Amino acid sequence: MNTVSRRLARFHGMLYISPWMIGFLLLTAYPFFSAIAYSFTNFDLFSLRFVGLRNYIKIFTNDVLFVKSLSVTLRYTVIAVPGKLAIAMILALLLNRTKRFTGFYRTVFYLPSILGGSVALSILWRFLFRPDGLVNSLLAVFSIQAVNWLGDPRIALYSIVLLPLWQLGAPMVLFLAGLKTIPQSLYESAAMDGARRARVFLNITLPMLSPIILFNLVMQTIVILQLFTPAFITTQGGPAHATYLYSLMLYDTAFRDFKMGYASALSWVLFSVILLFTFVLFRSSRYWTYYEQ
Amino acid sequence: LRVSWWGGDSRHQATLDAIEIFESKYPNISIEAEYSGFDGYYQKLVTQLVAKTAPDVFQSDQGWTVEFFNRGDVFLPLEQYASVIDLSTFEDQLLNSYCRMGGHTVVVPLGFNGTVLLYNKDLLAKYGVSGSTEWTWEDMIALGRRIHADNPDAYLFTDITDGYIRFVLKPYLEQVTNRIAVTDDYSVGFSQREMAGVFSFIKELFDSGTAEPYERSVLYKVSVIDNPAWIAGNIGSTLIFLSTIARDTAGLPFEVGVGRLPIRGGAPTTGQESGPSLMFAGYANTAHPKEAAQFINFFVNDPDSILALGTVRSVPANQPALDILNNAGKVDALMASGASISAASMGFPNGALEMNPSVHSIFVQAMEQVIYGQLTPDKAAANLIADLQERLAEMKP
Repeated sequence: MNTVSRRLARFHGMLYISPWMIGFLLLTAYPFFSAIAYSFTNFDLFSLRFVGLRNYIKIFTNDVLFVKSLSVTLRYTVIAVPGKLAIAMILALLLNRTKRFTGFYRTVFYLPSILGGSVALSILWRFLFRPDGLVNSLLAVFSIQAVNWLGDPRIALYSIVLLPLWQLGAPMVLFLAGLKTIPQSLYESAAMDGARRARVFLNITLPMLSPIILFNLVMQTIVILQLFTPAFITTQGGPAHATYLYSLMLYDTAFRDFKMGYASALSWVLFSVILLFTFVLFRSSRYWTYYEQ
Repeated sequence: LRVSWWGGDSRHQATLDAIEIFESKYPNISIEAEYSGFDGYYQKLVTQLVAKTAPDVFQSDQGWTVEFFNRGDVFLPLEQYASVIDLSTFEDQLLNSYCRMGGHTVVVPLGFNGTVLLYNKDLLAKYGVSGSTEWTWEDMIALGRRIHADNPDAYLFTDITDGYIRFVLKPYLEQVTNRIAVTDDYSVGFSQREMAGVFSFIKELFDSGTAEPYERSVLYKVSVIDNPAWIAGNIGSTLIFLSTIARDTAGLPFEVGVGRLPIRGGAPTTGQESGPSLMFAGYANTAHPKEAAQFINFFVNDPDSILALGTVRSVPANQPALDILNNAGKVDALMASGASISAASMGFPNGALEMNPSVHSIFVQAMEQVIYGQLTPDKAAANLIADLQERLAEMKP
């Protein structure tokens, strides 16, 4: 009896995390690995044949939309990630200095993030950026000519880049936490040396924050490379594929064309791209992050 | 019994009303309605068919019938339930052309659909056009130039992206080639030169100021009723399906009329997309086949259902139902005249592959590249053919 209950006790922990484990195995691990297998087939939900590397060969040699959507996604990421982090940092710096209503301000700036990649938000975007929408109405006040934000292929991508920019709650809170850990003594000695504000920021704040910057950079890059909702709801990838984000192409391949095998291969390529980005960021970080130890 | 369909608000409400009547007449059957817009409906349905969880009765498109039938195990053979479903109210020829596969009736048409030109009477009257709008495409461009030159904010025409494909590109092409764009043997039904001609025409529609700039109309994907320029009365006309006429004219501050779609001089066919487009099908793996058939029968044959539904799926495809509506004065003048105009200028039935979303997207891509000036009509036509051939080869069973 005793040994049995002791043996059971060993599984107590497992029992507690089992809901997560089951979810993870069934909904994450299984699809993740089965996608590798599918990526070597021409699975279309109805029939399945092994095609070797043919899917991957086509992706890299003969798929115009792959090139197009990858380039759209990279451009999107290169603008959205630094943009989002810059704004998050500026807000964190400001919040760090506010003495009153800090809780209120923090909540207000965190709020958009709770809305998540929500559909409602993207629909709101569509209305804001219509030719007769709020943005153009505001511009008209300053006698600026109306812009076709979502219909012009040269502009549409930049209009939807703005969508994730204001959902910066998570990086902002991390920056804020990072700012709080910077020892006050550093600032005091800088003040005694007569350092100017910009100097203090560049030589103290930024280096001390660099590990947090790295973390935010990696996390946000991972999120934004996989972004789907803004393009799907706001522009449906158009006009003329100007906002055809990678995950949207993935969705079309899988659920419009039902080329599940090919879509699996595409998703593994995306995974590799994300891995590559993460790797490069980590490798480069040794030259620009600062740890006190 | 699960029943699914797509549509706009007016169709949803009318269908829900009909279902309520059904439930009160057949208290032993309860209906679970699953309805949505058209976006994603096909994707969801196919996924459900694969997972064998499709609704017992589902709305299907005429263009999907062959595709689903070839996949097998999709459709309930309705004759087997002749005790509860009466198909004799439909003409035999209609059933043969659109509804029978492998010797069975697999789908039941819910309405007879067609393409009509919907025009703003007030605006056109200003330019001396009243009554007849039997245009050729060339007439259209001439008038379009005149309107736009007179008022830079006004255009003769606009449409949603899908409309440009189905009501401009396809009819124009068929009026040239006299056959459908993608034939049922998985091949392309036009030459590069023919398609380049169509693209040049579409380009001219925009270049001449006849059509509202595409970068504006592209924003309103579902219906022209979302387009502020149309609502404001700055657009002379659009091409639509008869079945969406209620939605596309709801609350307009100007008078509208319907006319025939434009036809090239000397064209051998109108290329008009017409015929019974929306269908109900019973699902092959349903646990309640008899009840499913009973519901479909009620939907198309029961006078109370017919009156509740009105013309939310266009005019009924069976004469008795149409008579019931006419007698009750439930077919409005616009719908009635649209139906007769469309019936007088019918084109080919849709091919089995033309409505495939993946094929459709290839057309959209090529057309947009021409409109946005990214490719010449000739190059876009060449790409279109190559892309279609590749995709069709993949789809071929």
